[in-house]
Amino acid sequence: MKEILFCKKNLIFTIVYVLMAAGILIFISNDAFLYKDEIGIVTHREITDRIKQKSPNMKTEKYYVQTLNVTILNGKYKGKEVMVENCYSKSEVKTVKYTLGDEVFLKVSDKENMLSGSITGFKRDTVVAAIALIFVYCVVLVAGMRGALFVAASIINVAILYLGLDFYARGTDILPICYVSVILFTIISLVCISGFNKSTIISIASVWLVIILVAVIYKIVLSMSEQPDYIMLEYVSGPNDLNKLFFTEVIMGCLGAVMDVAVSVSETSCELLRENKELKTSDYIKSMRELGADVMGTMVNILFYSYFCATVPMILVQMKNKYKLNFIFRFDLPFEVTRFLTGSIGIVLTIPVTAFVSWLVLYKILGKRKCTE
Amino acid sequence: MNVALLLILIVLMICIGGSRGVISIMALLGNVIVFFISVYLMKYCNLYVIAFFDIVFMCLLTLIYQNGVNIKTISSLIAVISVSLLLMVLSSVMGRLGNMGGYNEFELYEDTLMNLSVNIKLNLPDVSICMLVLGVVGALIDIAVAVTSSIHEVRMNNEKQEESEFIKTSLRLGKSIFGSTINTLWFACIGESLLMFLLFRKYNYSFVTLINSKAFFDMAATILLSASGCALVVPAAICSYVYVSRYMKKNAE
Repeated sequence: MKEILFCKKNLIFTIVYVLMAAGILIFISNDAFLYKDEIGIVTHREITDRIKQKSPNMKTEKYYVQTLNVTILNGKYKGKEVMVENCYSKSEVKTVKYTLGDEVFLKVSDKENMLSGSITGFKRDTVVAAIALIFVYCVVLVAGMRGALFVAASIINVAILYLGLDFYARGTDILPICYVSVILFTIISLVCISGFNKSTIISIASVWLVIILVAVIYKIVLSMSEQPDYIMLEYVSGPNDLNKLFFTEVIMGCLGAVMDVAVSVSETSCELLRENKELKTSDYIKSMRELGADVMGTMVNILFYSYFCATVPMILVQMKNKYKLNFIFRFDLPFEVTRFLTGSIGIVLTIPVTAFVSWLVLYKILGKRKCTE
Repeated sequence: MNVALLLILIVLMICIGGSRGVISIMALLGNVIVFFISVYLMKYCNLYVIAFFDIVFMCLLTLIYQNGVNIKTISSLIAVISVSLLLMVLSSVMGRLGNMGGYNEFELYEDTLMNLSVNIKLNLPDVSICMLVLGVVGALIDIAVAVTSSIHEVRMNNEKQEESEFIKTSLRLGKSIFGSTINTLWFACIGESLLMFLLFRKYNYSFVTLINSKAFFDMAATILLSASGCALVVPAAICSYVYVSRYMKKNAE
């Protein structure tokens, strides 16, 4: 621990970063003057009433009414205080419990010099900034330049996604946008993470091949089975090209996992050939299969957890409402399952495809010459 | 459709992984079963207790069962559990401050959820926090194992190396390992929330509304905190390896 935190470079970085972060956070937490809407801070709270309501399993759920004193921080009522009543339940599903120091958006109305207000939203900008700063700090501290490049790649990718969605909102079909952004995401992420060298080029080519294969498999399976009920997807806003949108979601979700596997396979195969220039093709295939079995199991598990954990809150709400498990499986989970399965197929396919592409490039085209320089 | 995809996946895994492919399928099946049992138990028990047992169980399954007891797995185990506890504390603080969990502004008006009772006697923000941590544990285990096995290799090849020198080498190795799983989490999240991004666009969210909105916060907090955890587990694994090896040396003497 000592060696990591207290080496001179990291210590200086930490001090500078913490000072800078503190400055940014102090500014953002006092930026109410930048907002047009009224913002208030909760300065006093008191629970004034308790209510009980029946829950679906015939037990009672506790509701609390809290009276909040909110001091307004900006606008023409700056410095004044309003009383707001807020009701929240113990489960906090739709309702929110406010605590001292929470900043909220207010709708203030002024009737005969009596101020009254209601809360319209929660002010989250400081917390978002804090989390982003923690993220950048951890990544840069651990991975140095590579981490900084990863952060840069993520920002560029989000910008590309935003542009793509902008085109979509103006009427361009989503599929070309999907293909173009897959191409761009792959190049940017891989070049930023592992630099520009031969193994990166191999990875990029293999990622594209795998994505094409996955898309073909997905389309074939889709055309042979009955159409899923896309209306059950979350966040549907009513366009009639939901099948294309879901396809895009599936491909995007697959892409990350495929990139990670492709990088580790291509780096290992370059390493193998550098250490042993006379490696036979049969030995090469054997060690690639070993590596594949290693990577496959863990990556599929990671994908499983990252997809399904996000749906648990909704599953729990439904289970508490006495929905049967097989109902949930039939109507809510199929999309998650499809995403997970397609992603896993992508992961598994990446191993032979990348191994083959590396073999092709390193054996045939470069003729077993130096591969990473 | 899903059945066909599942069959394709199983065939591919067996073709490519051989007998070890079968083992991976069994391990996946084990994880799926444990996951759904623990979701089922969440109705009855304390959430954080279940989440903790889940994490420990996953570690035991992937580390000890698949790789046996040795210095690498023990130090990975310590690193993963401590980082996930840290992440749990961090995300519950941030989650409370930013009011994470519960329905977001789009879900409030979604047809499928409209007629569900919300009196569920279960704190939904807590569920979200546990799930954030649980979602990243798989990646933490993967990175920790990669780090400990590669630095173990270094130690074996060069036993007389000074400890401080060894740590420097390990940190350099850790840098290249970081980033080997992070894209998976990042793009899985983007893929899942694509339709949500479209909603932001449709309702003309300005930048200010966006960063204050609940839907955005839940997503951003999940992905950024998971990525921070992935980064933190690298030094944690190195530290615990060093301490475990010191402890073992002391016991051997």
